[in-house]
Amino acid sequence: MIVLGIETSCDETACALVDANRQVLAEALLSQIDEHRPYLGVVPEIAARAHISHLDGLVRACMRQAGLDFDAIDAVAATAGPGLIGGVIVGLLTAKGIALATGKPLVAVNHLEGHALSPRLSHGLPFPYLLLLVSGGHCQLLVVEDVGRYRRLGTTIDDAVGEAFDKTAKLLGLGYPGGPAVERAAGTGRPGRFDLPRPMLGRPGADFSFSGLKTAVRQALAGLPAPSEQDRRDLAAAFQEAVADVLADRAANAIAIFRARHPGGRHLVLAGGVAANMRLRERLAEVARAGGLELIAPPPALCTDNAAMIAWAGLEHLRLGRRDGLDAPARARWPLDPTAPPAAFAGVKA
Amino acid sequence: MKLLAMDSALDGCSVAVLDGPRLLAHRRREEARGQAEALMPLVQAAMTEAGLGFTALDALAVTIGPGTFTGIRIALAAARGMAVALRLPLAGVSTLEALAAGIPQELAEANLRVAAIDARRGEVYVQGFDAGLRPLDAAALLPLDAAASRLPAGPVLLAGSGAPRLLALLGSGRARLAPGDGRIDARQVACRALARPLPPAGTAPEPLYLRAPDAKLPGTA
Repeated sequence: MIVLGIETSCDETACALVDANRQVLAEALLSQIDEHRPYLGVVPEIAARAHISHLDGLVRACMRQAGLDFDAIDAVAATAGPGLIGGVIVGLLTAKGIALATGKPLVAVNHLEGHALSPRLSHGLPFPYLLLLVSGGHCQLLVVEDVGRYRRLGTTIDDAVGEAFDKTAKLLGLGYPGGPAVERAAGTGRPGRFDLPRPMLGRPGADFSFSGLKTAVRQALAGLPAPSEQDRRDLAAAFQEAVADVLADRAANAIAIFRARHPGGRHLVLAGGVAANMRLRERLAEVARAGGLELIAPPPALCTDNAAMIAWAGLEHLRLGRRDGLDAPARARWPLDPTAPPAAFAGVKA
Repeated sequence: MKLLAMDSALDGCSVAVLDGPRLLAHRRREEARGQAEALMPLVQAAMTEAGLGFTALDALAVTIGPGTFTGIRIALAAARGMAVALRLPLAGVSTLEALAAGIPQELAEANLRVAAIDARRGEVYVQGFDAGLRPLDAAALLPLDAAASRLPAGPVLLAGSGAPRLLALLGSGRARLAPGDGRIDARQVACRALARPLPPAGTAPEPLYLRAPDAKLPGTA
């Protein structure tokens, strides 16, 4: 079974071919970082324009790379949300065009589910597991019970964690994208010099909040008459430590809930672009160990937005007999756990 | 020459399947919302009615704009996906040309044609064509008064959603509205694609936006 996957929900245009033996047969990805850098953030219309100009070429390149004809694929899977709607529409309609023209089934994939199932592609992980999804658009703790069955234990009530990194980088003048820039600066900074708040720390449950932290960085910066390079590095380190403390505290609560519900569960998965941060990985590995779980982090290329995880999620659904109609909608919002109370900023990329 | 044409660049979407000049099937939906959901079922229904499999097609055609940014990309993304999968030539046709082509030939014989699409903010997407549908100027985004003063001399037939506002500026002495609803139809898209050589397979038309994305650089007002 081979599935063609397409991902266009934010600022990566991506296409991949994945088979049921967990092999990525081909992959093509184009990052739009250079197009968005002058704006210090993703501009939705610029993203959509780049997606349509490049996606069909990436599909062609992928098929050539794998040496496959469209007859050889079993389905076309595309991100149908949540994400920037203009980009989602480009990927979904391209997939619909290919599916209709070739007579192959279409699977409309939830982007978050792509992340959630990615450790099954990389590690063959069994259900259930606990997932911490940290990216530019999301910060959620979810129990992954089965394909299509997700229970949200917590989510951010304001900024996503990657957004907090981007905004902090902007404040500190560290460049774009903010995640790697802050981590680099923090590497030579002294985290103890600035006392930043740890929003939600010690509170019950597994929700997150990051907007106060960003404000505290701004205020600390304003308190310095002429911030030096070292001041900025120290602030970056203090910020990163505060984020690590909050993620660790919230994850510890979620682990307790997860272990009570699923005594046989053994893994905490860290996914999403922010999972590339080594300091956060370190801290979460400690928390997982303390809670009796093993930390699993898919390789960086599967953590950031990619099409292999979309193809894989499509394949998991296809194996269960699910497919979507040509009228499948593109959705800006699409929570993974329909039973979780709506959170204003959860499941939104902006 | 069997051709499938699609449009979703303005308010609504339409699909046409032709065998040369002969229309085999046609679908149209007027609602501006839900084009991303509606378009492909329309394509499927039209192909079924035409009695054609996709491998029987010789070419594809699609509108490239100007229009709504998202609308342009709905049919264009689908068409580009189909073109890759079927290895077919894909012709891009401008919405302004398709609108001008919608003016009945018997009316257009002695007239110049101007297609104008309301672009909001007091602007129109506009282009003039002669009786043979050769462009008189390049497609442009212009303020209404500039569009009016750029119009060619001579009797003019106006088509498209921007036509009434242009007419209000010009007065009925210089121009009149072409009959019809001012909407794009995939039939015209197909006809314009067939009126010139097809591009080679493996190339794809780019969108014709004519308006930059709304995005402000940090530090600018």
